[in-house]
Amino acid sequence: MHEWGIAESIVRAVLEYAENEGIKGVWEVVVSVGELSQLDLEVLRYATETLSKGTPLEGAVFKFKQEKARFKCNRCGWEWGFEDVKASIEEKVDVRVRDLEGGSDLPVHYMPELIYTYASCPKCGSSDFEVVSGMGIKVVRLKVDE
Amino acid sequence: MSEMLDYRYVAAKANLSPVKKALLICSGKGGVGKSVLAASLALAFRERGRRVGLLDLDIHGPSAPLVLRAEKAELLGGRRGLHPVEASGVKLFSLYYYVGDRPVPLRGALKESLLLDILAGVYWGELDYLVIDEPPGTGDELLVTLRVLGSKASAVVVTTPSRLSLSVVKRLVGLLRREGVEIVGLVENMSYLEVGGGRVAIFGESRVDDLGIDLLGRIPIDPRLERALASGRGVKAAEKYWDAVVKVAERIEKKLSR
Repeated sequence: MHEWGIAESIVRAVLEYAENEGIKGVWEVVVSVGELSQLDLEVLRYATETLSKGTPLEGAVFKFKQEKARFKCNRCGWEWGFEDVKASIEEKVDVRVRDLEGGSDLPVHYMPELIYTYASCPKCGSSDFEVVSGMGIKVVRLKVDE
Repeated sequence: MSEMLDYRYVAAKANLSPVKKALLICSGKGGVGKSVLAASLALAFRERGRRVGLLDLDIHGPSAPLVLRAEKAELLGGRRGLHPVEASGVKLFSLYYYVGDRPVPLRGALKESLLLDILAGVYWGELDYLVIDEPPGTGDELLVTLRVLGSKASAVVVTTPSRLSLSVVKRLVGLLRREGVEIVGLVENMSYLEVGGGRVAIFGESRVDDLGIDLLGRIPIDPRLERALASGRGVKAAEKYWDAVVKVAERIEKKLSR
């Protein structure tokens, strides 16, 4: 359950930011979560709100929004989504990380950039493509009292 | 607010806080034997009773598992992130386990992002030394690790006596000094070859004194090293190489304890 570690760091990062910027209260934290991370948004929400208790963030609403992954080939211009290649990646990649709390994950769950190792353009086969969206976890908006 | 709110900087600092010292094994050029030396130093510190981690940051050519004879391992993850693999008593993280022989075709910003994922996502626990095998040069890998590690990082510079290697090392040393990184010293690898009781300087006579850095040791070319690695017996089977590495490890600890 990698989500709890990420949630803890998000809470700490927002607390540090608020302190450094002299922000009095934070009411809402909006986080964009790239589809490639394959994180459980409900676990993230529950974990951040639980971990905020007893801190200046207690009571703040955490909203996690999944950003769909889109790719564009630099060689042939083809565009595609994660759903177009996910099944073939799961089939051909034999590496899994066993979660000590149950289940197993593809390495992209921990390191989304490794999509460049596992995927290629479905049309021309090139590895020279862009991840247009859907990579990484970003705090995109805070609602605060100045 | 982008960098301040990139949770990975916070996660990396938290994950690395139980690490007492990060030793960056750096070189100006590739091909100077830095990866084998980094893995060997990790082993030598372990034999001296230290708690040691080895972080193989060579994204395009990870090789530490081959040196530590731990090519196969079960990969584990948990609440704090990825768990390093245990290899000869050393905690090891290498992309080798995740990509095998597949290429990792990443450009600059993506490479930096992957490094942050690794620094933030690997939980080491308590360590005396985290030995970091940095890719050659002064690129993203070095800059990102320095940014995250701050004063926890000290550098060991590796070169051969070759004029080409030394000229590039000067740039590396310049960068490390500018960033305020403690340079523990310099290791001259492939320094000489012992032939018939004498020493032959294959790459010419040593010029490392010109750099103004303490010399931690000269490591000979040991023809048995390649065979020892290829046969799976490990670096300790190359006695001349291993003896020199152990002395370097002793000198590093002596310098760090001052």
